[in-house]
Amino acid sequence: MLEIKKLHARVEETPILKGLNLTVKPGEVHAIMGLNGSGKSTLAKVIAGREDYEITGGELLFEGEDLTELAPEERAWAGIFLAFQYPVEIPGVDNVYFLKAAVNAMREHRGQDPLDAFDFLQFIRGKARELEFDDDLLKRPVNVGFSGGEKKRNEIMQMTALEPKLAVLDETDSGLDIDAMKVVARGVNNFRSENNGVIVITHYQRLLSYIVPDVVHVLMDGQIVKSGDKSLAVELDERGYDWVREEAAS
Amino acid sequence: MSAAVQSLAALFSAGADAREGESSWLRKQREEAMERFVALGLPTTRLEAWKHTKLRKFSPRTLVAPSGDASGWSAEQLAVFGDLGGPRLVFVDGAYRAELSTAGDTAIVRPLSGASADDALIADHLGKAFGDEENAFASANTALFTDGVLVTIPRGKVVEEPIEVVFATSVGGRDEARFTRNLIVVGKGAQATLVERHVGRESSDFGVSSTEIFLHDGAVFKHLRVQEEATESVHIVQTRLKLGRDANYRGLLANLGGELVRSETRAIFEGENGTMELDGFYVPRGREHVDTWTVADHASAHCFSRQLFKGVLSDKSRGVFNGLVIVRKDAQKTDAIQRNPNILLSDRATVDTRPQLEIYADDVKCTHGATIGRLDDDALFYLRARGIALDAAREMLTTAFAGEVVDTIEIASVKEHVAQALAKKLQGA
Repeated sequence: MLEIKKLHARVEETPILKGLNLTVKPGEVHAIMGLNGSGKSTLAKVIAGREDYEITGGELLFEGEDLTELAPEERAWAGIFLAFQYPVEIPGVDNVYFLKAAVNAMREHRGQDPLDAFDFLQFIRGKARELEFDDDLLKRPVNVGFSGGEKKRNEIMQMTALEPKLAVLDETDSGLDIDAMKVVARGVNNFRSENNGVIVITHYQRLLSYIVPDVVHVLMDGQIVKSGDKSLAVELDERGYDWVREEAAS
Repeated sequence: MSAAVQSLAALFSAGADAREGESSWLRKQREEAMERFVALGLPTTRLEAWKHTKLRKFSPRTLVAPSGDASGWSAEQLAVFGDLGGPRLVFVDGAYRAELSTAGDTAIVRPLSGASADDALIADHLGKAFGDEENAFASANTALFTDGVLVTIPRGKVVEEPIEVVFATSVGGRDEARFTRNLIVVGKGAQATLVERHVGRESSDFGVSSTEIFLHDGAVFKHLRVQEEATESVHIVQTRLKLGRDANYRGLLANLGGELVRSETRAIFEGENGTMELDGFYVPRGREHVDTWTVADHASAHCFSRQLFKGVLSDKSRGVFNGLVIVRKDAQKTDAIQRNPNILLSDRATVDTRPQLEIYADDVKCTHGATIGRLDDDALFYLRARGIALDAAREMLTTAFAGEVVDTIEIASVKEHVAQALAKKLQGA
C-alpha cells in the first residue's frame, strides 16, 4: 500500500532523507528504529505531508497514487494517519469538538452521513473506554494540560476513530509508563488487520514486545541500511547501532 | 475647515429651533461644545492618540441629517438576542422609536430626550465624565446628540434582567451623521446589565456614540457592546467611566463591522477597591480599520483593572491598540493587567500596538504585553493531518483565538449571536 523509492527530502537546506526505500503491504507491521537525527521523524512527517519538508527526489506512492502533490488533509482522506511524537496543544478548541470535526470530515470523504452531536458522543465515548481515556479529557481543550500518557492515548483514540488504512506511529512510546504502553499497544493491535498497515517508529525494543512487527528496519543517515525480523530489534537493544554502521560501511 | 466639520456646523445651525425646548444649561453646553469642535477640528495623526488613524478619506465628506427610515429592518433583525427579559429600546438614526421598543420600568430606563423631569440628575452628570478633555468627537457629540438611553438605578436596587438598547441606522444611507448619547448612573450598591447593539447595513454613514457611566460606591455594572456597523461606515464609540469605592465594571467590545471604528474607553478609579474588566476583539477584513484606545486611570489605591483585546486581521485591514494604564502617586497596591495579542492572517494586514504604563506609586503589580503573530503552523498541520481541510482548520484556530473573549459573555443568546457573527466574519479569511 505504501511504496517509497529512493526518496530524498530536506528541511530548509539540510538534506535528511537520502535515497530511502520502504514498501509496506496491507496487513504488515513495520518497525523503524534508529538513533536521534537518523531521519525517523522526518520520514513520518514527509508521509503525512508537513509542508516545510521538501521532497527533492524519488517517489512516494500510496495505493499507487503519488502522495507528493496531496495536501495533509487529502492524505488523511486517502487513509493515512500520523500519531504525533509531540501532540499539539490547541487552546480554545475542545477535544470533542475537534474529534467530531475530524471524524465527520473523514466520513464525508467516505460518502457517509455526518454523525450528529448525540451519536458522536456515544461513538467517541466507546473509543475512549477502550483506551481507558478519561471522559473529562473530551471536554478539555485539545491536549492542553494533558499528561504525556494522556496525549498519546488521545492520538491512538483518534487513530481508532478515524479508521485509516495506514497508521504511522512516531515515537508513541516515548514518555509512556508500562501501563500506558500496554493500553496503547492494545489499541494498535486491535487496529491491525489484513487490510491495514502500521509503521512503528521507535528508539526502543520495549514497545515492540507488545506490538510485534513483521519487519524491523534500521534507519541511518537518511537511508534504511538493514532490515530483518523482530529479532533484529532485540539485537539492536542489546548491541546498539555501531555494528550496523560498520556492516553498512563495509 | 474641512467639509466634514463645516457640514456638521451647518447641521448644528439648522437644529437651533429644535433646541428651543431644551433647558438653558444644555443649550449653553451644546453651543460651547460646537465652538470647541470647530476650533479643534478633526483629529490628525499629529495627535499622539490618533497617530495611526487617518481621517483623510473622511474629512472631505459633506455630512447630512439622517432620514430616520426604519423600513429596511424587520422586527427579527432588531431583536437578534431574543427576549432577554428586560426592556428593549430601539433607536433608528439616533431617534427613539416607541413603536419598535418594549418599554420597561421608566424610572430605571428611558430615552434621554424624554427625561426632562430628571433635569437635575442629568445636569449633574451630563458631560461630567468627559471633564475638560479636548476631544473633538466628544464635543461634536455634546453639540449634536439627538437621543440615547438614560439608565438610572436607584441605591441598592438590583436589576436582574438585562436592559437592551439597539441603535440602528437607516438602510442604504449616504453620508448621514448620527450622534447618540447614553447616560448611566448606577447608585450605591445597585446592579444592572446593559446590552448595546449597533447595527447598520448597506450604508456609508458616520456616527458618534458617547456614553458616560457613573458607578457609585459598590455599584456593579455589566456592559456589553456589539458593534455590527455597515462595512462602509465610520463609527466613533466613546465610553467614559467613573468608579466609586468597591464599584465593579465589566465591559465587552465586540467589533464585528465598520470601515473605520474607533473605540475609546477611559476609566477612572475615584475610590479604593474598584474593579474594571474590559475585554474586546476586532476582526477587520478588506480595508477595515479598527482603532482601540483605552485609559485605565488608577487614581485610588487597591484597585484592579484587567484588559484583554484580541485582534484577528485579514486582507489589507489595519488594527491599532493604544492602551494606557496610569497609576497615580497614592494608588498603592494597584493590580493592572493589559494584554493585546494579535494574529495576522495576511501579509498585507498590519497592527500597531502600544500598551503603556505610567506608574507613580511604588507598591504596585502591573503587567502588560502585546504580541503579533500568525496562526500556529504546528496546530494547523495537526488539524489537517486529521482530515480537517485548510479553511476549516484556519477558521477553527482563529475562532478559538477570539473565543477567549467571546467566552466571557454570560448571556447565552448574546454569546451565541456574537459567536455566529464572528464565525461568519472569519469565514474564508
